[in-house]
This record gives sequence, structure tokens and C-alpha cells, in this order.
Amino acid sequence: MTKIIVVEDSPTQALRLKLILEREGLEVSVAPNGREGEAMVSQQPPDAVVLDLNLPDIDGFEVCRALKASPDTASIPIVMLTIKDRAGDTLAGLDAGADAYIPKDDYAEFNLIQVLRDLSVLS
Amino acid sequence: MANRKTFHVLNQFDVVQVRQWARQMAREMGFGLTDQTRIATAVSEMARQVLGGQRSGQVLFSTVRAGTRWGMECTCLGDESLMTVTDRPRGQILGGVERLVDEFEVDPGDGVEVAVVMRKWL
Repeated sequence: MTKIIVVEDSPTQALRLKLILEREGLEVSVAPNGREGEAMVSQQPPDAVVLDLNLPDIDGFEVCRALKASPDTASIPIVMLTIKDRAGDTLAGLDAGADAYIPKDDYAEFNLIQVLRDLSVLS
Repeated sequence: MANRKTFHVLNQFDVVQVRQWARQMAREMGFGLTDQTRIATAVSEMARQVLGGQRSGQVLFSTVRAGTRWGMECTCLGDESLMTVTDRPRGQILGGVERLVDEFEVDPGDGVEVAVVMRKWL
């Protein structure tokens, strides 16, 4: 089964994402902060990571850079899903190595599913 | 999806609609994921600026062609407040919005209606 790790500190948003992605047939694990997210991805590499940026310990940019810098996790697609939707944040996300960057707006769920399909994570 | 589309930007909801249209149009044209992100963000930033003016403005989308190259063009029409935002050194416009596209042009027009044209090529 295709596996996703969601790095999201909001329990409500994490649960919502988990339900949405499980409905698409994915196996979903949730990390509530950046360090746990990094560790989870390193120990059990998923098929993709959905990454929030506003995390309680280290920000999502740092998590992304760390994962992309490691040979064991560099090839795992990372989709940033965040309330930060300004040009500076997007550029920072792409510079950190994100494969996609989705603002948390009314279309977030739709765009996330579409991106996962385009990444061939979802059929 | 139509290759020409005009949005009137009257509120934040319109900004979100414009951003989503830009993402979808870019995807359907064949832009990759990171370029879809760049285009959607650039359009969103400029639509916000259009909204922030004294008068409502518009965002127009079209496909463009130069020889064998195809691209996506977005024209943002606003009032003179758009000039004060764009009249900055490269890299300092709205957090770097011009870095998100291949071409970024400002047409001050008659000073009442200002056009910012952005293009991204496949």
C-alpha cells in the first residue's frame, strides 16, 4: 500500500488530512512536529511527505532541506501544505527542495489529491 | 479549459479563484508542478495588489505563442497604486514575485490604469 507521512502539528488538520488521504486508499502516518517527522521519514521512508511549515520545533523549510540533503530520503516527493501563501514563502519552499507547494485555501484538498496523482503517488 | 479568461477582482475570494484558475490553466498547458506553483503564486500576489488599489481591477489570462514556443500570459490591471509596488529593484518586488515568472513587464499606461504583464514559457 502507498504510504504517506503527514507532518502537521494541528491535531484537527492532521486528522482531516489523514481521513482525506485514507479515503483515496493511502496508508497515512502523522508526525506532530518537525523532528519526529524527519525521524519517521528516515526510519520508514514513505512514498511522499505532506509537510506543514508552521511547526512547533523546527519549521517545515528546515525539515525539507534536511530530507532533501540525505541520500536516503532525497528522492521522496515533498508537498508543502501551508497557510503561508506569499511569494517569499513559495520561493523559500521551492529553494528548500519542495516538489509542490499548496496554500491552505478552499482548494487545498483538491489540489493535494491532484498533485499526488501528478507525482504518481495516487493512481 | 478556455485559453482566455478574465476575472474582476473585488474581494479576497476572487484572489483565491484567480490563483486556482492560474494553477489549473498551467497544469492543463503542461507546466510541471513547480512551475504550476510559481505561476499560481505570482498571479496571487499581483491579484492581491490589484485588490488593494482604490478601484477594483482585473486579471486576464491567455495563452501566447512565440514561434514554436507556447506560454501562459497573465495581465493584471489596476490603478496607480500598482506602480508604487512594482517600481522597485529586481528581487524586491512583492517578495520576489518577478522571480517566479520568465517575463515581468509594467505598462504605466496613462497613469490611471496600470498593467502588469507576466509570462511563463513551456
